[in-house]
Parts: sequence; C-alpha cells; structure tokens
Amino acid sequence: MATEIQGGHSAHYATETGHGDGDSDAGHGTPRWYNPARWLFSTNHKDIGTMYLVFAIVAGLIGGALSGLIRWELAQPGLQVFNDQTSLWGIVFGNAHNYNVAVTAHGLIMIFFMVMPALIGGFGNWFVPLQIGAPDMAFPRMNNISFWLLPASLGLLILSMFVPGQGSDNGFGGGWTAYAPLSTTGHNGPAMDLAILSLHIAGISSILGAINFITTIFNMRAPGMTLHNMPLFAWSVLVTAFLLLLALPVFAGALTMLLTDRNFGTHFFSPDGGGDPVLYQHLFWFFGHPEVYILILPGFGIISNIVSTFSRKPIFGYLGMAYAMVAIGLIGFIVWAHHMYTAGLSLNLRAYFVAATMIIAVPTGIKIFSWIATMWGGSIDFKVPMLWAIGFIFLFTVGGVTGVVLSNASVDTRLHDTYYVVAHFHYVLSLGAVFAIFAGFYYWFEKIWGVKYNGVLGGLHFWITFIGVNIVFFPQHFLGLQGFQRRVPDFADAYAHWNRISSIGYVITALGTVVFLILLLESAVRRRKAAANPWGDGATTFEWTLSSPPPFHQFSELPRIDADRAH
Amino acid sequence: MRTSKFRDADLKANRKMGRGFRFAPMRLFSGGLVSGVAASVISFASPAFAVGAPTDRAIGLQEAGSDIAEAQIFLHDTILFPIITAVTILVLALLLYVMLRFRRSAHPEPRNFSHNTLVEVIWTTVPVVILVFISLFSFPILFREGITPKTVGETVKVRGNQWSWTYIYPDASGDLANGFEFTSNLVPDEEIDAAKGQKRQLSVDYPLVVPAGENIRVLVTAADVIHSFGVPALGIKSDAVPGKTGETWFNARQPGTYFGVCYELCGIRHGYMPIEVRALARADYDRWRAAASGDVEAGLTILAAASAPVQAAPVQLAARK
Repeated sequence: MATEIQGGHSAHYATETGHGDGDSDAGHGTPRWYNPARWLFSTNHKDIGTMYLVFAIVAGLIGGALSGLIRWELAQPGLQVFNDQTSLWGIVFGNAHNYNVAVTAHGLIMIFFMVMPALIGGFGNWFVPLQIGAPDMAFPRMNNISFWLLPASLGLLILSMFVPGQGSDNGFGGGWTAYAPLSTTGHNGPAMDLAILSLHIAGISSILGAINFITTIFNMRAPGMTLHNMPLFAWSVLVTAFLLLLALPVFAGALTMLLTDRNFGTHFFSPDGGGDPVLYQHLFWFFGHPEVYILILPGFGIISNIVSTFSRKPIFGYLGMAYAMVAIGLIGFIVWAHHMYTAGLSLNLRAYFVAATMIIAVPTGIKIFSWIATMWGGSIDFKVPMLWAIGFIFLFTVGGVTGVVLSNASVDTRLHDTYYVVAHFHYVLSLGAVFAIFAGFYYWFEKIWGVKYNGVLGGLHFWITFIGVNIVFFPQHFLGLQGFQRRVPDFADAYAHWNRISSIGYVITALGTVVFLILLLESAVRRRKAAANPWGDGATTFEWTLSSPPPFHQFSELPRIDADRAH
Repeated sequence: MRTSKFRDADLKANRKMGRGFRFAPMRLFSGGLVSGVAASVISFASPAFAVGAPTDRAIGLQEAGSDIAEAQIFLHDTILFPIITAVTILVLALLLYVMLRFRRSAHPEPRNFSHNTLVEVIWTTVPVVILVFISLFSFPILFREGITPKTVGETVKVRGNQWSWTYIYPDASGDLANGFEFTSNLVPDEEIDAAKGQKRQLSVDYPLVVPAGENIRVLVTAADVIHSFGVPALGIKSDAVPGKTGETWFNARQPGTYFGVCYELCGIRHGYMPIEVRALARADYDRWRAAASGDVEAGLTILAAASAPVQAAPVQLAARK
C-alpha cells in the first residue's frame, strides 16, 4: 500500500506518543495493565484487540491439544486413546463417542474461537482503525460486548463436553456441522443444547463485530482516504464483515430450529413429522460456505500488506485484489451445495454447483498471481513475517487446487467425507489461515506489544511448523484417495502407514508450537524496546507512523493522506 | 462374456437418452497416470475374483471395479491431477524465481510498477480456459454417474441403521415389500480370519450379494440418522437419509469382493459399519438368491462355494503406489 502521509508526520505525532507510556492522568491516560477494570470495561479497540489475540492463543492451544488426541488415536489401527482405559495424568479419555466429541470440539474451537477471534477480533480491531486513520471503532461499547460474549461462549462449549450427550456418554459428537437428526434425536442429552447456546452467543458476538467494522470503515476513514485507496487489510475485513452479517443469521435460524426440534416438538428436520433432514444441510452450508471465506479473507488482506512491505513495492493490481475479494465473497454465497453432492440432490442442481464452484478458482488465481507480481521487481527482505507469507502463498495454492478437484461432483463421489477433504480444508485453513495469522502476528508483534521478538526463534518456528504441517496433511490426500473415511477412531489396516506418518508430523508441529511459546516468553522477559517502524520504507500504512505500542488514544488530530497517491 | 455384453447395453442406453456426450479417448487412457495397465488386464481376464479394498502405502484412487469408477480415475488421474500439479509447480517456480532474482542483496532498488494489463488479462482468462477444459470431461462423467441405465439387472434397497446395514431384495416380480431382507454387521476384530481373505474393519457377516456384469440399482435410505453408503472401487457414494430414498447404481465388472464403509458420521459406532459387496456370476447369484431368500445362513454356503477357487489366489486389484 502506497498511501502516504502528508509531510511532517513524525513531528505531528510526537505529542501523542508521549501519552502512551505508563499510567498518566485519569480521563485520557492509560490505566495500569493489572487493573481489571481496564480489560473488563474496555472500550479501547487496541485493548479489545489484545484480549481477542490472547483469547485466540489460549483457544488455539486447547484446539491443538484436541488434535493431538486425534492424531494419537489415529497413529495406528485399533483404539489407543479412546478405549475407556488409556489415561493421561489420571484423565481417562473415554470411548469412540468421546473421540467424536474431540473431533467436534477441535473443529468448533479452531473456527469460532481461534481463527475468527485472531483475524477479525484481534488484527481487525487493532489495525482497521489504525490503517484507516480512525481514533477507535464506531461503537466502542458494542466492541466490548462483542469480545466478552466469546469467553462465555467458549465456556459453554467446553462445559458441553462434560455433560451427557448421548445416553451415558458425555459431550456432543456429531461433528462441527451438527447434521440433523444426529444432532436432534441422535443426541438426547443436554450437551447439544449447550453447544447450540454456545454457537448462538458466538454468532451474536460476530454479528455485532461485523456491524461495528462496516460502520467504522464506511464512516470513519481519515480525510482523503477513499475506499479505493484504503489498505487491503481493511478491505478484507470489510468484505468479511458483510459475509458475517449475511451468513450468520441463517446459521442462527438453523440452530434455533435444531433447538425447537429437540425441545419443543417441532419437526423442521424430522421426516416423521413432515420435516426434511437435508433442509438443515442447506441452511447450514448457506452459512458454512461463506464461513470458510470469512476465515480466509482477512488472511488475504494481511498477506497483501506483508508482501508489499517486504518487497518494498506497492501491491500489484490493487483494484483487482480488492474486487477479487468482493467476487470471492459474492460467489461464496452461491456454491453451498458442493458440500452436499452425495446428499441426493438432483443431477442438474449438482451440475450447476460444479460450474459455480469452479469459477471461484478465477478470482483466487488473480490473488495468488498478483502477490507474486508484487514481489516481481521488488527488493525482497526475508524477515519472519515474509517467510510465513510466502509459505502461505504456496500452501494456499496446494489447498486451492485440490478444491478444484473436489468441485467436480463426479470425482467428489469418491472423495466426499474422506481424508482428501480433510487434507484440502486443512491446507487452506490450518496451513492457509493459520499461516496468515502467524504472518500477521510477527508483522505487527512489535506494534502491538511494544517489544521486539527474537528473529531466529521466529524463523525456527516457521521452518519447524512448515515441515510439520506438511507431514501431517499431505499424506492425508493419499488416505482420502484410497477411501479412508472421516471421523472414525479405528480403521482398516491398509490405512496404517500414512496415518502413522501424519501423526509423526503432528509431533513436529507441536515442537514448533513450543518454540513459539519460548519466543513469547523470551520477548516478555527481555523486553527490548520496539521501534515505531521496524520494517523501513516498505511499510506505508498508518500504523507505522505511530509509536510501538501506539498511544492509548491515537489520531486526536486526524491524519490526512495525499489523494494523488491513490492507486 | 457377460460383462462386456452388459457394458455395451449400458452404453447404448446412455446414448439413446442423449445425455452429455461420449468421450472416446477415455478408454485409451483407462487407469490414467499411476495405475498402469492393471485395469485393462482385469476387464479382459478370465473371471478371476477381484478384491476392491484399500492398499497400504498406496497414494492414488482405489483401482476400478466398475466403468464409472474407471471414469472417475480417468478424470482424476489423467485430467485433474496433471493440471493441478502443473499449476502448483508453476506457482512454486515463480515464487522461487522471484525469491532468488529479487532478494534484497541481488536487487537492492525496487521497481515501482503496479499494473500490467496484459498479464492481468492472461491470468484471468487462462484459468477460465482450463476450467472449461476440465468441465468438458467432468460433466459427461457426472451425468453418466447420475442417471441409472434403463436396463437394470437387479434392484437392491439399502437401509442404514445405527450401526449396521440392512439389505432388502425384491421378490421375483420386483416388489421390494414382499422380498427378503437381512442385516449386515461388522466381523469383530477377534473373529477375523485372514486366511479367508477377511479384513479387519471391512469384512462383514452377511455381504450384499449382487450379480456381476449387470447394472444394479441401489435405493438408499436410513432408519434413524443419516448414513452414507459408499464403495470406492465401484465408484458410488449415496447418503442414506431417513424419510428419503436416494438412488445410485453400479455395475461390478467381474465377480469379486468390493469393500466400503459408512461415510457419514452417525454416532459412536460410525467407524464400525463397513460394507462388503460380493459380486457373483449370474448362475451363482441365482443359486445364492434361492437359498438366501429362505435362510441367509444357507446363502453363506453358496457364497463360500462360489468364491472357493479364488481364495487360493485372490487377484488383488492393482496396488496404486
């Protein structure tokens, strides 16, 4: 992004940076960090963003631990973990139902409590106002409730794992998709009701956040900043917010219908009362497909910022990049039934969804090639965020091309609900969205925390994770092609080899996470003071004009951007 | 040979309906990239006993036991896989090139362009052309897969239960309500007899028995929650939805055993309701039917006899490594 601030901005901000440090006078100063009121009652977009990031890290560790149980179970045929006997520090993990509970919780936690809070709540809150030159979000109090609904939601979801789900077995084990009737008559205990309530609350949190972002971006851009010279990260959050606003109410409707089917005798999804289980799938995926773009679009924005910064070159094809995201968002709403090719849809309907789904490859290709074109002719600095960004571009491509394979309904007959699908969506999410999160985390680390991190540890984290996740997920393509079905704790002996390799990859990835935690610890202990702009003249967005961390309240005098510098 | 006769009838039926168009070179490419000649050997070999099952360390699709499965393999191995590999390698090569050529030490002063209409037009239109090319192959296969041929040798109704499959056969007049049915359960690990070719997590007590070389219409429904009836080597997968009846079809090219599993999460024993399809020569099938319609145990004796010569040397469908 080549937005530039009109001359003399360093002096311009000098007065403000003074406020940022320490605990100054009441009213507009920074409360002390250990004062609970600062966090509980916060209306400050940066504090709320920090809480989202910490929340996402905690949820990511829980979700990652659950995937450890999954890979441990699948390391070899037979039941290793979920056999009612195996215990870890006295905890018995239960039976095959509890395996399904772990799979379900892993999916829900990673989607709703790790990726979304990190990208939208965390980076969105922190950097949308900074990048568009706004003092804060449009509705600061609503921002507070958006965040504080999430711990309640996560608490309910975790609680649901420990109350009866089906018969005497605890937890809801119907997958994150919660297909009826397994989620209605198939689970007679309160676990599913708690999960429904949890997702309702997470949904409300996201809808409120989306309203906040849309209002902020439409109304609070600094003078001179039009939509067409707004940084691409802000663009990506804007498109994401619209997807949230349009998709989540449909999900809320489907969840409410599940709730009434379960408790109040309605028959929306039960055929014995005239309902239709496939209706749930339509409603779910009308939300669920845009949801996967919700998870990845902010990552697109982050990668655009980073690639431009470290190539010291403006982003290639800015308008194409922005409208490719708009196109992906729009098409994302008309492809949902490609998740349902085997559900008994009519042939013509399947043919339509094949065609519509394939089209998404075009705007996605535009983004991939534009990132490479941005690097072309640049002067590339391989700092830690850039490593993650380049890793993202490659791994997202791998996940994208397997998506083209899956879009073909005839081949999907073979691959639906196999590990090929698992490999595909982990390449775009675990290796795509999560790499974007780490890229953003290392890009803005000094800006957020005000301290430097150890670049060697950051590079080590990247390389170990890059190798580890590929060993986890690449062999899963082979398993899926051979027909290995999803969501089972035990499997035919012929699937043993690649499952073992995949589990070895998990151990490597976990090692990478340990390096990440050491990096956090090291930077917290050493507390090397961060510079306002550690990245040099390639970093052109507004946040780099402020101190690190920025003052508690920024832009009390609005910055201006030079309209001639518009793209 | 019965197999090929029925396949021709099937092709004619498809042509008569005028759906899609046939792709002639498909046969030439049968099996595609990684499978070699195994598929064609199997279709023309004497009626050996085929096994459609996963192979350890394999990296591709399970070998085809039906024409539809072979068409899927063709689409994946010959069309899609080369394209996606080429795209991935192109992106990787471009990334490596820019990383080397434009690294800071080699290229200290960045250029400042941000537009090039020509390349933008190219990278928008070329993917469209590639997608159109894929769809030329994809749609005909989809329509072939999705339309049950008019000549059907047998209709079987499959009902998914928590956690077993019930197979319902019609009576002689084709009436499903007055035929016979039996329920098929997983063989527990401790009873698996590897010498008999049984596979842990895949073998069942009473397999679904069908005539080989004939079009089998499968009606799929469920009793409780959603299941999914899928047999990879036969190229089928159809969700079993309570209150609905889905339809799919297959034509097992030769006698053999084709393994599948439940593909939709259906509760605690979702991983323990495999599918075993036993395709028999028509004469054997008729004898099995006559016996099993009265007593499914009696049917097992016929099955054992029908596959007896095979157990000495089962032809494993080629390992796709």
